[in-house]
Amino acid sequence: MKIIVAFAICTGTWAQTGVDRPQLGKMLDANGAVRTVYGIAASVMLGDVEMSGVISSACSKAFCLAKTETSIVSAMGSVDTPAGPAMFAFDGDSAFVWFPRSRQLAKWHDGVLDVLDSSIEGEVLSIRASAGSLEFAVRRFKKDVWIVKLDGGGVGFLPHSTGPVMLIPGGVVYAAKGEIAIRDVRLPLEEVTAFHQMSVNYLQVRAGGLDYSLRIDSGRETLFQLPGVSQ
Amino acid sequence: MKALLLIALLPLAAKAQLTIYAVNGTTETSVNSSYSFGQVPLNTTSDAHFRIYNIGSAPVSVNVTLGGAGFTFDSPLLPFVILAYSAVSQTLNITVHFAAASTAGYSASLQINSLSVILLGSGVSAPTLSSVSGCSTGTPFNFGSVRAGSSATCTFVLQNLNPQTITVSSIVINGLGFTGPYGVTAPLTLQAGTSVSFSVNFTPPGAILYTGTLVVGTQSYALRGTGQPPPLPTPSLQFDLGANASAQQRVLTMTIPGGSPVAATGYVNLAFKPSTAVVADDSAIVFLANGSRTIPFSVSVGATHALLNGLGSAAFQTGTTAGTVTFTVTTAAAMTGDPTTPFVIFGAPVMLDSPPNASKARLGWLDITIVGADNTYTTSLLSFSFFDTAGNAISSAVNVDVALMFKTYYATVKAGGSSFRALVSFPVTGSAAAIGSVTVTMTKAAGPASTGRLTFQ
Repeated sequence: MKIIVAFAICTGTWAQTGVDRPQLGKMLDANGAVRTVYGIAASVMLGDVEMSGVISSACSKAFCLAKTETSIVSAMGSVDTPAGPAMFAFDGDSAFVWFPRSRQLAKWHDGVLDVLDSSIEGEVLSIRASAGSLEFAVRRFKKDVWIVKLDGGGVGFLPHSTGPVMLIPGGVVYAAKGEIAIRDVRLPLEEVTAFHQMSVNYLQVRAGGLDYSLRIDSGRETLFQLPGVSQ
Repeated sequence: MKALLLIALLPLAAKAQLTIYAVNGTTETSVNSSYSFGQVPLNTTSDAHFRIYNIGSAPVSVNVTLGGAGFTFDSPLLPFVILAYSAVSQTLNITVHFAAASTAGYSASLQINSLSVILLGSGVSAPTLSSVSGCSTGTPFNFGSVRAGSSATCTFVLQNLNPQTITVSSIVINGLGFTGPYGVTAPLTLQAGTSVSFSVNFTPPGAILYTGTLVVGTQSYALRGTGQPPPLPTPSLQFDLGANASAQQRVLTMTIPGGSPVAATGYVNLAFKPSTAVVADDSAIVFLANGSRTIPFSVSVGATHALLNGLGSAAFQTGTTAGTVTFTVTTAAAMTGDPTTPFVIFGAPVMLDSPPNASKARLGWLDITIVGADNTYTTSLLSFSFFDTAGNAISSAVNVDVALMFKTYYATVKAGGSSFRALVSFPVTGSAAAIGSVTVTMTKAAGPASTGRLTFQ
């Protein structure tokens, strides 16, 4: 009871307040530039170009990684990598990275990249660090999408996936015929070609040459368009 | 003796063989002893065409001479043989030109073998033509731009400045799109110092440049006018169904009532006027296709729907500020009516973008994060009601005045909209384990907004 009383006194006297611009995350625009997306759902503004020449990017709650043709760039600097795009799976202060062109797995931490052994079969569509283990969404036989662990053990199966897949904490987002599926929600969208992780709460969806933002918070799944940029 | 008589008769027979006609188009008029050119304006040439037939039974060799100031003639090589009983194609055709150098009477003798015709003419000052209204005052008389299918009328005045009466033989309008003259009939006689007015219409069938002539007697004046495309009917801008509000992505379509009579291109622009004086604009209010406030449109002939940026519709954001978005259609083509369409966004309670976060992870603090937008920029008070883990209220609600905080913030973000991420932290003495949840109410003129019960994580 004493605690409660003390608490009650403090609220009226010393409450601290602060306010700033909300950010949805960082998008990769059609020109290969990374920009911060400001605002709230369905009312956003794009910030200035923060980095260009980017082919893959992703952000966790704590930090962002950007993949150029031959390196991964972070706030800690740049590190050489295999060529081509990359997929990221954040794991606290580090991130697993999959290089689809060379089919290599690595772990990024503290600005350093360590190559890991892997023998994943099939076309890797997405990776996720979950409860201390790594999971892959892989398309096999150019058809079915499986969610498997690093050792190949099956975790799940996506029978209706026809396009890109993104493993998210506790779920999966995938493009099916004319729609995006997330949990039990179906959002109509044609020609989905890619997902990028803008932040913990938002994915960037590229479809039909346009960019969208998909809120992935459970129960608040929303899809809206991001403003275009001149090319 | 008989032979001498025949020889004596030959010249008579030869004379009787030739007949002369004045030719005007396809009309032939027999000419006797004289022919009048009438009044000819100074410094112009009047032509008369003559056709000479041989109606006798023998060919005739013909010579032509012309004597008299102001008259000249053209003919085939002379002498010219006209066959007996000549058909039209076998006649001798000559053209006599009359040009008066002064205001006087002129005469000349046209001699065709023994056939003699006196030519008469007089020089007069040409009647003065001027435009009164409806076209330019100088030549070419320009009717300007007239919508295809519509008419413009130019009124002219024809004035006789001569000291004598003149006759205007004809007033003729030539050229596609030009008609007239109206209000006058030629030939007409103009007494000295008098005038007559008449009008000419220009009705362009299409959207091109037209030229024509107004011929008054022997004087020719150029006419000109430009056909303009018919106007684009006022485009109708429609929005997808739903109540207007902030933080929306709406869809705009543009239709042309009755179909477009012309192919047209242009732009749809949007402008925003906030209903608050706190900010001057909201930069989030843009077309999504290009992130700007202008998108191009195009419409083809007969189409009822315009393409916006190449598509059937265009999405736009309504931002996070109450006010009026005004859409304006602009085009180089003529357009009827008011091309603006308003889209009004009314003030609303604070919009919460995501569930506020209540955390006691930071030792000694309760952190409450609220992300939302206040489209009237008037949030002044946050009221916190705390509950223990059993759901019982802990003391009374705690009010935090945030008016200055938000005022300072919005002055910083300027046109960045009203979205905000507010963090309110309460220090806790001792353990916060017993504190279970909080309810936050945001108060503003447009009404309160409550977060609902937030459980501390």
